[in-house]
Amino acid sequence: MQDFFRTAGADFTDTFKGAWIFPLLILCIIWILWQEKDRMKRLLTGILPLVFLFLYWCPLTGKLFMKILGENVYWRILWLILPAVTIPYAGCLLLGKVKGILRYGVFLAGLAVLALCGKKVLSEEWFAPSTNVYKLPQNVVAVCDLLPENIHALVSNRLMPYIRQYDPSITLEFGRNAMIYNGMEEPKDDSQILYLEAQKQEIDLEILAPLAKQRGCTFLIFSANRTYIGDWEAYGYKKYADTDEFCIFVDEDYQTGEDTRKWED
Amino acid sequence: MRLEILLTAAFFFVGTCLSGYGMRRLLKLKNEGILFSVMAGIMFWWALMELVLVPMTMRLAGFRAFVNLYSALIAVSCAAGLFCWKDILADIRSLIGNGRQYLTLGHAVALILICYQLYFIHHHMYLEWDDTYYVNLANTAVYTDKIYWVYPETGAFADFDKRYVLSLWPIFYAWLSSIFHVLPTIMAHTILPWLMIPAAYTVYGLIAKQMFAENTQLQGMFLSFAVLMHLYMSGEHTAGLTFLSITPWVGKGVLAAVLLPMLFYCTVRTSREGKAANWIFLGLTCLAGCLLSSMGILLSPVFTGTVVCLQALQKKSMQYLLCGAAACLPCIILGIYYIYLTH
Repeated sequence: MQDFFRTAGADFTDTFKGAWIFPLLILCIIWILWQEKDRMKRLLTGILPLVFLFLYWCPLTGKLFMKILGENVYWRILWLILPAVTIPYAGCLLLGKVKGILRYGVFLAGLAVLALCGKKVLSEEWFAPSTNVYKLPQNVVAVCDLLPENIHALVSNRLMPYIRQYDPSITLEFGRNAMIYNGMEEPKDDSQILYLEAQKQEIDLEILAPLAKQRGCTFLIFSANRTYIGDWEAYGYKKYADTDEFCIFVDEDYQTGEDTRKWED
Repeated sequence: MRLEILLTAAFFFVGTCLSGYGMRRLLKLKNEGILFSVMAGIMFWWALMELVLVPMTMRLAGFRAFVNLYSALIAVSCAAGLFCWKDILADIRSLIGNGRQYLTLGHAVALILICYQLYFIHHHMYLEWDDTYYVNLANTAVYTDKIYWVYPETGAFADFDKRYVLSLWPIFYAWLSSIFHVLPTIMAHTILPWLMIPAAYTVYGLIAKQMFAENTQLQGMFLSFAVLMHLYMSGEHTAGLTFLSITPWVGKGVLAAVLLPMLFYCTVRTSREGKAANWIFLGLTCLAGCLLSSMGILLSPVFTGTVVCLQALQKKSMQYLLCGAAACLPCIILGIYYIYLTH
């Protein structure tokens, strides 16, 4: 039971923190229940959000939802409460009681209250200016512009989420599921050894290069600040290109235009 | 890119509007207006896609085969809408005739806020960690002609991830991409906000019309409050409204920002008038929710079921409860199948 309330409490706080939207929502519900005479409208805009709040906090229904949805996404039950219906409706109930120029004044005041109670979503805290039509980081575009099509690559974790969004013809040695290897002390297979070696600040080429070659990684891309033990050419790779933030190495046996993708037709 | 945005938006809104008119004729829903037709068409497109895509995915059909079949069905539904030209003309005439009453302060504020939101989002980017899965799912479908049997993050062949197999929303924008020859990444990040944000606020416009049928001034004020709520929510990733600004291309975001308010609108309609057409429309919207996210398979019937139970209690009507259960049936069937697949 305590676990349930801890999860529900944490999710609830995460959703509404940094703003006064929830207290405003409660005030609006009270206002609707008090003022609205139409039973259908009172039910949909006033009672319904309270019922969903009850379902969210009730351990019986909550545990059932957690079991079906998964504990880590329980907060999505809160989406059932529609504050963008309840709060505006309560505001308009109030506006309906005033006429003429006063209505405009109350309306503008209402907008100001909403803006003050909420937290700005369209801010630099969340967004960065877009520099390309893909809306991907520019350092990814810089790397991808240098890479040929239809290759298999092992790339830095900083690039991994974005490379295939730019060029789906590239196959990657590791996706996000490889991140579970992070912190592993005794790697069990070649794939884990290769991944863990690629994450090191100082990469031992004697370990990395033969495994990368064996697994068909034609291109290797690492952050420019990495250092290496050994000489790339001694292990069958050579420098291909550089960007401001990344170094690209290529298998010496790779021939321009060659299709080295892995696991695809 | 402006041309691609314009063409896609024109295709999407004109197409859904025509399909909506076709659907309205079928359901005998008269005098509903253009905006209702657009939203009815959107729900129809998504529900139809769920019906076509799930069996095709399960039978390992190719993406191009899906594009051909789905495009043909959409073309038929649009053509059906063209036969409703009398209704369309009547609605256009009514819009021109009554247009003046929508020139209110509230509507003006809402329009300015929506334009600001679109402008800001167009010139900024939000990096969504899950895009490496979802956007790549669309990229991979277009690039390899395979629906969902390539692991999108690496390009490796893989067995289905059964959690998402019933809700392949990225295939919707992969379909749009294949029509307009644009990479799905660009379709999702740059073009889709121009479709989803207006669609979301159309729903609030329709809700306002239901709630304040006789007062267009209050309708406008309701809409501007609703738009502002989306721009000033808690600013946390977990808040449903926030998704419309940060990730309007993600299925979960569309579920929270478009579909759940649409379900609210549908339940208002069924509360007012329990005719069969309204219940069918509610059922169609529930089915559309299943396409957007596996979360939709659960949240749509929970939302609809709760409202229907409350209304049935208030109306003391068993028939109302049964109609509600029937509207939730598509979600219940898919929900059982989901549990069967994942357990």
